Amino acid sequence: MSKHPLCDAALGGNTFAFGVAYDEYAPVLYGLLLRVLRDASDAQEVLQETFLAAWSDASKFDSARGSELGWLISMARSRGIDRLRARQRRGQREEEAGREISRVTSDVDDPVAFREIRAAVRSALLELPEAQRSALQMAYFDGLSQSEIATRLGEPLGTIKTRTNLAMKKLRERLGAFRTR
Amino acid sequence: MTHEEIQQLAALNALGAATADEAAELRRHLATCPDCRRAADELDEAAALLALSVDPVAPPAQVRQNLLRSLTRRSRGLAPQWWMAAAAVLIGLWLGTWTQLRRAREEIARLKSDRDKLSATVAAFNRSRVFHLAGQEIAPHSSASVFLDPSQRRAFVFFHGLPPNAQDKSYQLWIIRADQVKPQSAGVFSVDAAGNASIVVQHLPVDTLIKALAVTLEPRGGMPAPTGQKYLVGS
Repeated sequence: MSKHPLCDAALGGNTFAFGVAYDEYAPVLYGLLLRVLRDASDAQEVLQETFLAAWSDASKFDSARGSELGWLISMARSRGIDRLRARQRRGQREEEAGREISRVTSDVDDPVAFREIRAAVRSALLELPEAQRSALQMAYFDGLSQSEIATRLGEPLGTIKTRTNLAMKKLRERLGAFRTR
Repeated sequence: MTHEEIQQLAALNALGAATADEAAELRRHLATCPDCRRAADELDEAAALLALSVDPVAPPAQVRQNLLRSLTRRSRGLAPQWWMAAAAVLIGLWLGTWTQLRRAREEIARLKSDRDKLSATVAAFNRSRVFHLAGQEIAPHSSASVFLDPSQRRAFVFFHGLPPNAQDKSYQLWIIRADQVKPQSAGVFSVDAAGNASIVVQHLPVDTLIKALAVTLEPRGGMPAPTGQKYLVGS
């Protein structure tokens, strides 16, 4: 099987194969977008936008630089964060949204190819000190800047930057190898 | 900035946490530094994979349907390629059919022409004058029928039961004319294994001048005048 079935399908104009690849990736991206946006309707819109962008921009994917999964996640996440910030600017973020998301439970299994990566990501995160882990998660899932995190935690900006860097360094050591798999 | 500092920036950038100025500085450095570029790629991948710390959730089927529907619409937007390919196939099929049709027409024309020739031949037989040639001493069981079509000055000649001729020999048909002493050659032929053959003789003399016909065995290709034994004679 191709290491980048989605881009192959898009470049070949093969909507059937694209749908098959969508089925593999969509649950990962949708889970992420639900976590970032805490709103199913927004998450679904961004999910669709992401795959439309992947269809159009497949030629920009460079397998030497990272995995197709990583490429898709980056697109979904940055679109999700953009949507989140736009919503925050409009002051529309519901305070109770957090409760809604807690009702979303995992209802699918990963494709075999992702299971090993997921296990590695989770164990790498668990090995981080709590402070590093939460600095990482606030930046990644909530799209907070380092100074926003510092303000929220009441810590110096330098401390937050150091924690984030240490956390990313460990993650890179543990997960960098998946880059070209 | 040191490479170490750049890679720290790359770590923040991978999380989308670098400021615009920091991101710009990072891009400038990465454009010329393969080591930091590789480190940045690894940091980007590691950050992206953080998504896997969240449980996967199956999106509603509606998302997939909408997605594929809009991709199909986009594909139609690219229609020229698709459409041209389809048109090329149709033109190919049409050309193939047209070629077949043309061949069929040619075949029909050929068959019509054959039929006309056959009709003419049958008509010729109907108005023909018939000669029978009898086998001579050397081949008493052989015979020949000559259908002479005076209007076309031609004859269809059918030979039967002649001994097969050797490779270096040909049978030769002669016309003995009323106005000439010397026999006139009307063609050479070989017989098949059963001793049969048929020939068409053109440019015959006027039928009233044909006194008799004869067949001799001659050296291959025939002779200007008969030299061999007579196999068939008739008048």
